[in-house]
Amino acid sequence: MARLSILMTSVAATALLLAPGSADASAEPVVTTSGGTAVQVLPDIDGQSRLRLRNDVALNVRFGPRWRLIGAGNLRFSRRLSEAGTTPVWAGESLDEADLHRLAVQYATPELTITAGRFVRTALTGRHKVDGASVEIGRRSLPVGLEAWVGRVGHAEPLTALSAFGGGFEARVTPLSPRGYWSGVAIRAGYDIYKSTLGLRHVGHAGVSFRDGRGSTVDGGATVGVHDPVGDAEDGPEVGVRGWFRARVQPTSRLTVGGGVRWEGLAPVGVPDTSVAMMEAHVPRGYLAADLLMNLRFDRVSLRVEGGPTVAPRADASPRVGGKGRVSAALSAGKKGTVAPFVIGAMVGNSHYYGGGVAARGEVGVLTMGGELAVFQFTGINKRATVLGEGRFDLQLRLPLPDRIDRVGGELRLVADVAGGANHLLAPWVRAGGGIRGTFAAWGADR
Amino acid sequence: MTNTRGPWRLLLVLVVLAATALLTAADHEAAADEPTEEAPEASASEDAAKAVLDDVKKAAPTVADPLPFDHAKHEKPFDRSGLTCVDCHPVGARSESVEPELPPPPRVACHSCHRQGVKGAPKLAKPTCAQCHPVREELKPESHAIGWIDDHGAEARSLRSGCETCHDRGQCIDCHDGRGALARRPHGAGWEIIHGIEARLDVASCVGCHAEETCKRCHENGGRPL
Repeated sequence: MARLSILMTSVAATALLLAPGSADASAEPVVTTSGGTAVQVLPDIDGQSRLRLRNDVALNVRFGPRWRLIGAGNLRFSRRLSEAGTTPVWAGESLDEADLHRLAVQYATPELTITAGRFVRTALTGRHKVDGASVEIGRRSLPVGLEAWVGRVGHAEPLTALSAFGGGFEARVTPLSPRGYWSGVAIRAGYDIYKSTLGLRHVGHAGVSFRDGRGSTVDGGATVGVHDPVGDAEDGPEVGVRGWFRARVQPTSRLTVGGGVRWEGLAPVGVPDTSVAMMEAHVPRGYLAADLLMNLRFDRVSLRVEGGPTVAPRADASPRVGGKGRVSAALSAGKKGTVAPFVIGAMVGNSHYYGGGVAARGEVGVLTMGGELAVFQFTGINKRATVLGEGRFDLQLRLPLPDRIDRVGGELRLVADVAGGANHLLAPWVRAGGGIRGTFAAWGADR
Repeated sequence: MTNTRGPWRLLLVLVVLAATALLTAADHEAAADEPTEEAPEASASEDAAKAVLDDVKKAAPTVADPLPFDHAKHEKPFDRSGLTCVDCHPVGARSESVEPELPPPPRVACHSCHRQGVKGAPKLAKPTCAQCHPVREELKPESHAIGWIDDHGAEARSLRSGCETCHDRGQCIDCHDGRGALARRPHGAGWEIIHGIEARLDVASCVGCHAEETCKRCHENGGRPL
C-alpha cells in the first residue's frame, strides 16, 4: 500500500504537470488534486506517546469531456516513542495503516454515468466502499433515474477486514412541475442483496423527500432488512426495520424549526456482519429517537437549540429512557471570526454528563485560527462524578502563490494543531502536530 | 483494505500511471501542433469591456480571465428562450451585429441560467462553476460557516441538495473516515469523555461510520470501558 500511495501521488503530479499543455475544448480543470502530510505526537490509551505520520492524496483526472479517473487514499505510519508499556497500542494490531477510498474510471454524461473500480456508494442504507461497477441513468438531468451496482462491499472504516458480495438497484423519480421545471419532490425505492460468510441479507428501501427553493425539507422513508443466517434453520430469518420522518421549515428568513422521529431497528451500514453485532449488543429490540431543532438568526447573532429523547424497549425490564440537549449561540463578525459558546448535556440510565464551553474561529489576513474548549461534569456507570475537560487550537497559514502559474491554480497551507485535556481515567494528555495541505487544479490549453 | 499489498492492485495502478502519461502526453503534442492565434488589436471598445470585466472580478468570487463564453454554443438556447443581445449586454448595446462593441455582461446574466434549482432556468443549462470560477474555495456558500458541521447531514440527505454541484459523491468518506491528513474531526472537544453515553443513547448514529472493531480496540484490547 505504501507503493500504491506513492504511485497515486506520482499520477497526480504527472497529470498536473502535463495537463496545461493539453488541448481541450472544455474549460473545466483537466486535473484536480488535493493532498497533505502531517506529523503528530499523540497519546495512546496507556499514557505513552506515539509519533504518527499521516499522508493522503486525492485526484480527479479528466480525459476529454466524458472520461475521468478518480482516486483518493491515505497512508499512516505510527511509531511508539517508548516500548516500556504493557498494553497494546491504541492504533490496533498494526501501527501502520493504508486505505484506498477510491480508484475508479468513470464515464459521465448528463444522462449516463458508468463507474468501474473502487468507489464509495452512498444510499439510504448507509455508506460503503465497493470494488465493482455501477451504472446510473439520469443522474441529475432526467425526471426518472435508475442506478444499479454490483461488487465486493467493504466497510467505510478500514479497521475491519469483513466484506460481503453485493448488488442492487434503485429507481428515482423527480416529478416536474406543470411548467416543466423541478417540483422539489423526489421518490426513491430500491433493493440490495449482500452475501457474506454469515448468510444472506436482503434490504429493501423506499423514501420520499421534498425540498423547496428556500431550503425547507421534508423527508421520510423506511428500510426493511431480512437476514437469513447460514445453517441456522431453527431460528429462521431475522427481520429488522428502520423508519424515519423529518421536517425542517423556515417560516421566516430568521427562523428555522425542525424535528423528526426515527425507529432504529436495523443497522444502516452495507456490510452486515459487524454493524448487526453492534446493534444487537446495545439495542437488540431497536429504539425510538426523536429530535427537535430551533435556529434563530439575527444580523450577527444566532441561537440554536436542539436535542430530544430516546426510548429503547427491553425484554425483561422497563424501557431504557434517555435524552440529550444542546444550546449554543454564535456571535459573528463576518469572515473575520465567530465565537460560539455552548451548553450541552445528556443522560441515559444512571449515567449523565453536563457542561459547556466555547468554540471560536477567525481569519486575519493569511492566518486562519480556530479553537474549542469544553468542560464536563461526568457521571459514568461507576456513579462517580468527575470534572473533565478538553481544549483544542489549530492554526492555518496560507502560503503566497501566484494567482495563476501557466493555467495552474490552487492553494497551499501550513497547518498546526495542539490539543490537551484529561480523559475518562483522569489522566492528562496532549496531542500536537503540524503539516502541509494543498489543493491544485490544472486547465487545458484553451485557458 | 488495511495493510493489503495485493499485487493486482499494484499492477492496476501501474497501468493507470502509464495510461495517464501517454494520454496527457499525446494531448500535449496535439496542442503543440496547433497554430497559435494572434491577439487582436486593442480597441476603445475592448478597453471598456476590460474595465467592466475588472469590476466584475473585483466582486468576489474571482472569475476566470478571459471568461470562457462561446457565443456559437449559446445561439440555439438563446433563440429558444427568446433572449437577444441586450438581455445580457444592457450597457453599450447599439445593435445586434457587432459583438466586440458590447462590454461583458454582469455575472447575474450567466447565473440566470447556469444555476442549480432556479425555477425558470432552461433545463439544458448545466452548472459548470469551474468554467468561470477557477478558485472554488471562494464559491463556498454562506451556509458553510461555523455550525455547518451540525447542519450538513440533514441537507445532504435531501435528494436534490445540491451538494454534488461542488462535491464528489465519495467525498463524504474523506472526512467521515477521518484518518487522512486532510480529515477534519467530526466530533467536538471532549468527545472521548462523553462518547460512551452518546453511544448508549443513539448507537445507530455510530454504526453509520464505525465498525465494531472501533469499540473493541480500546474496550477489549487492553483499554478499560467507562
